[in-house]
Amino acid sequence: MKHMLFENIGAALAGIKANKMRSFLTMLGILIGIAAIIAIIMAGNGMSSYIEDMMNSIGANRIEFYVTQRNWDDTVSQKESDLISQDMIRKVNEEFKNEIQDISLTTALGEGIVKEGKDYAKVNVLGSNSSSMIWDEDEILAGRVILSSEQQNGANVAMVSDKLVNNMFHGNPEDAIGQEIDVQVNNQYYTYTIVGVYQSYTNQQMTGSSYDEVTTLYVPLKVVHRVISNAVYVSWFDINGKEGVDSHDLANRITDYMNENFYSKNANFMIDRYTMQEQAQMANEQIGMIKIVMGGIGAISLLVGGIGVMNIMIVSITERTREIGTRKALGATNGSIRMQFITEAIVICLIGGIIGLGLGVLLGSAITNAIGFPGTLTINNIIACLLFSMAFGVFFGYYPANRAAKMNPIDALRYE
Amino acid sequence: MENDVIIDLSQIVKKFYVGKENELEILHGIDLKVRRGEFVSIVGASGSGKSTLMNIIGILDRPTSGNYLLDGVDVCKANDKEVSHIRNKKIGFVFQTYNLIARTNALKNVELPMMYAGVSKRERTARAKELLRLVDMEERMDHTPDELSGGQKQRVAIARALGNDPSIILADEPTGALDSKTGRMIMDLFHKLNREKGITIVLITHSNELAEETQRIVTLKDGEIVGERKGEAYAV
Repeated sequence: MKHMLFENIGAALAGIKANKMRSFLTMLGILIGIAAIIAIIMAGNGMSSYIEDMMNSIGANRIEFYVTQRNWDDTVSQKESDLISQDMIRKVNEEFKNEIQDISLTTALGEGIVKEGKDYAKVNVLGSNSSSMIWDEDEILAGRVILSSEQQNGANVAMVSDKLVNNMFHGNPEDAIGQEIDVQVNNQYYTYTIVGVYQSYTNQQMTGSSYDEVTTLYVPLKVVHRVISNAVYVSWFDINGKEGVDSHDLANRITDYMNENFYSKNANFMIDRYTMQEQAQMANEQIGMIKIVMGGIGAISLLVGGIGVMNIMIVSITERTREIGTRKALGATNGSIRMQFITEAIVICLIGGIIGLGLGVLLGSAITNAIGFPGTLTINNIIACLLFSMAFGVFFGYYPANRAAKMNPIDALRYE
Repeated sequence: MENDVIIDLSQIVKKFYVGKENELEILHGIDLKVRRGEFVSIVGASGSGKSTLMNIIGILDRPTSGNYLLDGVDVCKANDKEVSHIRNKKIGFVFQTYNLIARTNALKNVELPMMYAGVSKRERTARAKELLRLVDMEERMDHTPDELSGGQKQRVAIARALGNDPSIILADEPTGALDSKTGRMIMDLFHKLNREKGITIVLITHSNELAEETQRIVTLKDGEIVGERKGEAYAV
């Protein structure tokens, strides 16, 4: 059989060339199906790795608690007594101390600018009580995190991003350590000493002008509270569950605890929460839905395409009845006739598959670019897709090819 | 000498079953022996059963009863695959309508039976060129059938029939679609192959004139052999 393979492929290509339009229309179903499936694989891979990145950078055990209205009502405004007090947070920490790794409180001072001659960097000044929740060790490029003693004293120290270092200190993080910077926020100047530089997490797809990018400048929480008097009340806070704690369950229990003890008499406001786990799960469910819809379109298209291939093969075999008779008279066995037409169906499907692959990559890139993260395609995906289209050729080519193989040579030769 | 008989048909009966119980007997016990190197013609009016006989000789069809030894092999007992191989190796078909494979050049057409025989690409290309030279079509080997005249097509078809050095050439009205001058050329080619290469040729025709050129004329009528005689115009 091997010695006929190239002849069969050559004959198939000649046939496709002779009936360009017909062959193209036949391939279209396979093409669209493969394109849809490739696009969804790319988008799915991209989204999955995006979610994984996000979970890794924020922490999968992160839970956020926030004050929300019981019923949406524009006319009700939030008073200080509706907010979360430091006392409440302390009580939560006490009640659940066996399950809470740490509590992160942040208060924003606001957007500001650091200026030195012509150099400048845009920052968002954020007071935070915890460093361990924000960075892994390997994300600290130089210096150190803010110490708990500095937290307690409210020392004027800051952690800045590598972007700020690029703009202000020409890229060397070590040069920035120990330097004082003046930050202008709301027409007020604040002076901080840089103690550490962290690697900023940015999405490359989103990057416009990197010089103007706003990065976070972290200072001890107390430093911000000194400026914003009512900051002892917060509208939200984060906790990190301990390793092995079911964050979904913990989130529910803390929410219930806070609502029963602190908000039972509040007619308008209550505490609600969301967890990274739930976020990721929700996102995964959405991806799953998109995958099912796109996969369904692909599958239906492939099925219709496959039937189209089968149909055109039957037409082609009927047209070539005399050729089949002649080949049989010249000594072709049923097996070699069958192989010839299966090869032809495979070639049609494979060409459709290859074009579909190209189109799918374009479509997938367009989708993932539009959403804002890179789509990826593994070599295994590509091989699987090509093998899949070949398998389609075998599956939908077998019946027509078998029909050709079983033709009676006399009838075939006599066919007009 | 028994060894000299290449086609040995005895008591060949062929029945067709039309509808339920209507059987139609086309051949009523044919006995025919063809010697190696012989040029035989089978003549008869349409409906005489000569096409059916040709199909049986070419093993495209099997007799209802009777025996057929082709080059000493009992082909009635062979299965489909074996029959394909016998056709491939022992028989070269030449059809009235040429039956060249469309969109495939002359060279590839001639290579076809060798491809089915499993001959390597290089070897079959070399042999196909040689055969095209024999029929004087070497210069047109890159042409596809729709670029060739009727006579040229038939010459390519004859070259193709010779691919695997067959024991016999079975020619079914080979000049039927050609003008008389071109037909003459094809007949001359058959004579040359028969004379110089010793190839056995069985010619099926309704033309008495052509039949007279052959060594022996077998006349078929209503499914029976009604006469055998020497061709008057056969040139030794």
